[in-house]
Amino acid sequence: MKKILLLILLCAGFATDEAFAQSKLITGKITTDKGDPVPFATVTVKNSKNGVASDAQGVFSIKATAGEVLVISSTGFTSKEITVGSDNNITVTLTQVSSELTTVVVTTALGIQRQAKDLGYATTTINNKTLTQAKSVNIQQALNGKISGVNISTVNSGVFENAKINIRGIRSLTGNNQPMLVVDGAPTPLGYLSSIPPDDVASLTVLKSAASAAIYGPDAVNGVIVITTKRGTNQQQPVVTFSSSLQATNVSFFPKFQKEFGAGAGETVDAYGNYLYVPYENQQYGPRFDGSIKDIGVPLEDGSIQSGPYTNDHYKDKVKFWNTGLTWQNSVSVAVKDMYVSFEDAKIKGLVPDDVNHRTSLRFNGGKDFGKLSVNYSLNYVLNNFDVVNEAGFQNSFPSAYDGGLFFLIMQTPSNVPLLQYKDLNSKFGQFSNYYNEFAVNPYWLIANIRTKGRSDNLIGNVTADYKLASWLKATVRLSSNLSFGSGKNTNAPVVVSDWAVANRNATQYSNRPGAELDYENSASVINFDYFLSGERDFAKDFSFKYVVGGSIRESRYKEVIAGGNNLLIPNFYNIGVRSGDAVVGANGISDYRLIGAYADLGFSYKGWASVGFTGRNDWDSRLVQENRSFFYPTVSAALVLSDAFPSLKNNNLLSYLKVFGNVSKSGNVNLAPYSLQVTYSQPAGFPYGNTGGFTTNNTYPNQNLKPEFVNGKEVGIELGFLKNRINLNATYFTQKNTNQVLQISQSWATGFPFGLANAADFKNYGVEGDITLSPLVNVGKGRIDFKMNATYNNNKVISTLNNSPVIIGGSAGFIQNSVGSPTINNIAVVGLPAFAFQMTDYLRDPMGRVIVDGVTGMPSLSPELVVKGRSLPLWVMGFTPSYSVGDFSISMTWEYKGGHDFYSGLGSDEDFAGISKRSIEYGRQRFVFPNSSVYVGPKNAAGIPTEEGMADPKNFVANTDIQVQDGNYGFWTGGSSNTLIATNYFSSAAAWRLREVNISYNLPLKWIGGGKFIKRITISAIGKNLLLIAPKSNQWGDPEFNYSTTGNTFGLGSSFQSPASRLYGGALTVQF
Amino acid sequence: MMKHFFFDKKLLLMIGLVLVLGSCRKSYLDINANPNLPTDENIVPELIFTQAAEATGAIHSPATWGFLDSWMGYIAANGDFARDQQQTSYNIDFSFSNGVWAAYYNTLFDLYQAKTKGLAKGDTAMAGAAMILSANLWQELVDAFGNIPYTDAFAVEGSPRPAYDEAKAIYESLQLTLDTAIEYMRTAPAPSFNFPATDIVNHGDQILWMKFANILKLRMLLRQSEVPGFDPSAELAKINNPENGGLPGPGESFSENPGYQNDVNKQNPTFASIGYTSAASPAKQSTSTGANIYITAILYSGLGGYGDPRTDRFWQLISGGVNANIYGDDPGNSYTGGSTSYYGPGLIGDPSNGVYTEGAKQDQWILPDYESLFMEAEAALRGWIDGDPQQLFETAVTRSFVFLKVPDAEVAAAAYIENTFFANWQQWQEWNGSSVESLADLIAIQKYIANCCIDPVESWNDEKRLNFLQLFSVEDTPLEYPIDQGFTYISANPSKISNTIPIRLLYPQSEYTTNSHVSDQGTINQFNSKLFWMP
Repeated sequence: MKKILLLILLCAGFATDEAFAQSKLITGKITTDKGDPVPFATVTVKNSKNGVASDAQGVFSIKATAGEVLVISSTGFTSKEITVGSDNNITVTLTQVSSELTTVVVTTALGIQRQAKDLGYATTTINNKTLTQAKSVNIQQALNGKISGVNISTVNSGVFENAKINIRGIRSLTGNNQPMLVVDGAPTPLGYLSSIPPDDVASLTVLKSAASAAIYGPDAVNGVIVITTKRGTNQQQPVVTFSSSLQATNVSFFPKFQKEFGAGAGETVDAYGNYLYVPYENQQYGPRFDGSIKDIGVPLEDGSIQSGPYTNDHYKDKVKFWNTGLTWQNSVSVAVKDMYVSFEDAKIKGLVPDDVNHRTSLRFNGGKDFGKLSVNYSLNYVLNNFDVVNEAGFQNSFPSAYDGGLFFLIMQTPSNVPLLQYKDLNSKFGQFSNYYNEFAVNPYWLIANIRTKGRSDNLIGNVTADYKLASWLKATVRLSSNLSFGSGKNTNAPVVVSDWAVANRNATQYSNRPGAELDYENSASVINFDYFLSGERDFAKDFSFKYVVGGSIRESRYKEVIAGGNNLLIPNFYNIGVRSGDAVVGANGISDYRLIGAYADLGFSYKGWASVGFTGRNDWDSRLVQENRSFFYPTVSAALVLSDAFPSLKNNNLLSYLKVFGNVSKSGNVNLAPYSLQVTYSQPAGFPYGNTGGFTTNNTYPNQNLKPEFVNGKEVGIELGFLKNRINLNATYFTQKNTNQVLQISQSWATGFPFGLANAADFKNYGVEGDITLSPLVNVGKGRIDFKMNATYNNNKVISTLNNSPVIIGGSAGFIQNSVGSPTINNIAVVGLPAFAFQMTDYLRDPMGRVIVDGVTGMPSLSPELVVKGRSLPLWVMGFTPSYSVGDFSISMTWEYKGGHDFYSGLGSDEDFAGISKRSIEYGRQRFVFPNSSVYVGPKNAAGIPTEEGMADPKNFVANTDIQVQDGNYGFWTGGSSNTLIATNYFSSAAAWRLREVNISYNLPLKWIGGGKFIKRITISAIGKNLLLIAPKSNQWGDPEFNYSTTGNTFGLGSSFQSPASRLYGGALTVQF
Repeated sequence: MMKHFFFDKKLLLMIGLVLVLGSCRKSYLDINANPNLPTDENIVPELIFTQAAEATGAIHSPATWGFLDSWMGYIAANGDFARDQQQTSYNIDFSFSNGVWAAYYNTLFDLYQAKTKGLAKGDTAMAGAAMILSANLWQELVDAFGNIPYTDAFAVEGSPRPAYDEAKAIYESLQLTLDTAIEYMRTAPAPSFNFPATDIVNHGDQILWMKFANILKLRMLLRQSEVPGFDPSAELAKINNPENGGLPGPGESFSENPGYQNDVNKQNPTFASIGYTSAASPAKQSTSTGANIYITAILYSGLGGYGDPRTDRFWQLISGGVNANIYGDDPGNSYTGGSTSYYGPGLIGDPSNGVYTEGAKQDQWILPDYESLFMEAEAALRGWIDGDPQQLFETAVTRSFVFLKVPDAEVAAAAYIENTFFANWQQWQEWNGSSVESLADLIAIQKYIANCCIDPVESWNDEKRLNFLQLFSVEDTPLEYPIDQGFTYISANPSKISNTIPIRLLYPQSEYTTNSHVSDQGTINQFNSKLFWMP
């Protein structure tokens, strides 16, 4: 017994052996040369493993012995060394260099911190200040234009600000290309990125290459966004921060439209065949506005009819229809010893009237050291509530109407029509049955009656325990979990039409219909269990050795139930229980998979300036059959800090830093939904009929032998610092060969399966990215101007596909415009072309590329073959951030340019159909000679059709200079084969300059706020986002980044379901106590 | 140092933990069996058959072949809608036929699955039924496209790009398939397995299935009537062998009904396409289309100028008449949606209390009895089967009246036959001669009228074979109704690229992008690339 007691004492003594040293507690504050605190700086005792971080106020405390040297470093500052003297309370001033090249610590895979100079791969870290300066409502909006290699596309301007993120282009043709998100070391679904309040983020690191992320396994193949949230401070006194911002939203880019012609579609014509005015038309091919008083709509039941001047007085109504939105964010956080608590509330009212998204977040981060054991945990609860118009549900209520979204309804409004007057749905002319338009519904009715309302509850939590087994070895276990519960209800109000309208108006619009509703509930959980050993150890005098070995287990589960009812029996009461007929049951399902990984990471470094690292990982994935389930992939990387290796380099006045690095990596990925290996059967719509069930074979032929995809990456880079790191440059060349791509390939219907799955394609993706930081660019008296710039050139090329057949990634089959038909347009992967090119309808052209017109009618025709051209992803993405600061005043802005790519606007075709487009008045609605056209004069067969040989011979075509189209009005512009079905008409450059952010902020002088005793700091700022969008003239339609789908790999396919592009501007206030 | 490294107990513990977690890997990862959908391991083939039989019916609704209703002069777009440029100009592109191609192969594959899985468990009756339904679809596909993938079809592992078979060879193979199916039906014990409950077409009546097979065999023979030197005798011997079940008689229509109801997605497919929604508003196709002036004029010309009693069964009258539009006409110059005559109760069922709901529950036709009888009349006319062609013809016309539920159908039909020169065997012969060709045209004309919006495919194929519709445009045609100029089913669209309708469809875009064998078929022209049986 005594012996045991002795043993325990001995152990305890071991555990606290450092307590025997004559150390003392030193507290200090780290500030910038301007006196601002430097939060989260690293303070270490030189040549020891003893280190702490400063808190949000720059305050730290550390145990050290007199004579020891403290090294203080922080991202963006030159590090400083201070010898511990007698003073127990010190103030350290750091000089800002905005350099990421010096001894910066980067949070890498698994949350392990590494010195940036040791890394053989490219990373970018940005701090909280950069992230929050424009008070963006979510992180992806805040990252725009700031990081080389990162392309963020905002695909709609709605209240969700949906965005797609790609780091260094794409690595999978049809699978996931979005990066992995890691929050506080825990893998987290990327969707949370829009839920994490930017204020909670301490730092954000982007690991751009597979080499940097291989340890995370398959999900990291597209890069990783590593977020470290704020932690507690080291002092007892709490720091309270309150922040509030208010931003208004309005339309920043509206499609070009004509203001000269009113309604008419040829129902009535004059003696010369000119189209007369039709007061209830949705198509604007009527006569020119002439100022006379004209009817609007149809005579109502009481015989009255609305009338007004036939002018373009109300053209602005189409822009004014969109609301001034409002984004209001309030947050409060408390940082205290070992604990950080924050509460955030963001309310977003969109451009679309009545659309609202409301987010509330509560975070609780904490940690505690217990000798060798330390435990950290964080818990984040996010509640989202939204209530938005359900444009996609519109066609359920009007199945045969001119389908399309809200935008299309607005564009079907002639400019003499006082659209805004119809806002009151009870007013005489605003009520449903009396609406002027015979073929389009009052857009205000759509907003009020077809809605979706939902909420999601998200709980993200993780707990990490570290145990120091020895000075050179630490054991870590981390359990993290993301739970998400979503629920919502779509409601379609009954269409109630007066008896008079039923009897007298167009049945498509004016028929009574019962209400409908659809409920959904889903739950998702991802549970990760990571366990690893890590540490570092000096080998011999100059060698050090770092190592990680461990494993992870992940289980992802998803379940959804969808049920609803049509034919609701009680008006405006939306419950599945009050329907008649069968219930609607949606795609209910479960989707579970499991992944086990084992990995090791070894790094050697010599004298701190040469390092080499090896990583290997093996995965076992439940989504593949047993034989293919296990796959291994290695990585090797190296870095050389030449400026440290050759002191002669470092000590010259010009060059202060020079590093070269490179890596070769392979990483595997399973881009496959669970249960994809078997032929499945399902009941088609309608079944079961009572007791009679029936199943059809589903359309995809699966492949049992599917294997993982592999990304074979190479990367070389250089980092340079000049003039004591006032000028920093870095550049990285990367190339990735992506093999064994799992594709859903189209195959002949005659096989029974129009789609098949196969490891069927290879493509390469390559580019150069770089950053330039000039800090300061120039000093102006007390002020300074800084300048940052980043640029990415990224290209790719499809090397092979199965049988070299083109692969359609997505497109017009996925969206509906109007009932007359819309052009065929797809994103497509074609061997030899970039991923992705566009495939689309075009005019029939002669061998010289001129449009062939009919020799009599002058009309062009639709080519039976689709053309392939353009590219969907930008070749160039560039960001420019100049800033100026003087004293407590600072101003900064971020410009962004993307170019080299193209986009298609479905709204363009819809605009032409409606006769509202600027294009449609290019020839004053008169007959014209189709530009750059020709006429066929060659041989024809017995049926009068040009022969194939004839069509191939350029000699058979003569330039058309005088044959006008037979109808330069409705006939041409709404004709499918002459105009609206020709996708090339609505295809243009997607290049754009954007002023992404402007921030002007001012810290109130301390003397104004009582010398900082109670209130420590007040910052006020004016902010603007997406203030300008400058697009080439060829783009008449809208934001080229908008896309019909927020998921998947399609880009540059806009439709009329997206709202116009928007800008935000407003102000913010931050108070710190 | 290294010694310490290897013998650290805690390290060993951790490594042990990794190994333990790793070793339970196998069963832990076996969670990929689909919990959401049936797979080959658990699907019940009867369920596939029932669905495929329903799909075979649905394929014969205007949802699939609505464009043929337009091309054949049955329906026309109303003035509310912009002219469908592609359809009305006959300038069809490769995507025009995507829907037909996909629907047919999709259904044929399910029938193939029902056949193979049925045979695997010995259910020859169900397999035979699947073969008969598929022979029906295969023939229609061949008649529309010519050579198509057939032998290689549905062998996805071996032939992801199936080769094309000669149309004629497919016809021959289908005769053999039908012979086998008849044999299955003849020898399978009744009731066989669960077949009577599964069979939503003939409810397990195996004799009726044999008759269905025989009429399909006869239909293929008739299609080849104009092929020089064609000898149908070998197949006729089998059709005429009473052991094989014989041909369908009056009242023996082939249709299906899984239990249609008046609810979203659960309506009879024809009603869903040209009738009304479950909320009693006009269905999609009926809002954009309605009566064509061509068929209307023909209907008005029947029965001594008093009109065909079927007129108000095909169309809903407005102010006592049919408001019909000209196909391919300019929008705005004809009747709008609200004033165009909609599809009538013969097609979509009679209204109850003024609301059209009953048709939502009606059986979906696949091959109505009158159509079989018209074919039998022509076969008798050609001396291929026993029977009096005139009597079969008149029975067929009468059954059309019955099919459309004309009140007092037999009497009305008798009066119609008596008084309408293009329904009267004798009057027709006086005007057009008594040759087989002349009387075949008469049969085709009546079949054409009876098939209005029911089977435009048969009308199209008859026109391709016999070119009979031009008889209505002959100047001295003794039509009773004063038909003025423009009496044609040809589109009025000035941009049309031919004055004749297409005789075939182009292979769909999807074949050109997925199946290199389609290029072996050379360039297809929709007007002059003739099918093997066309004169």
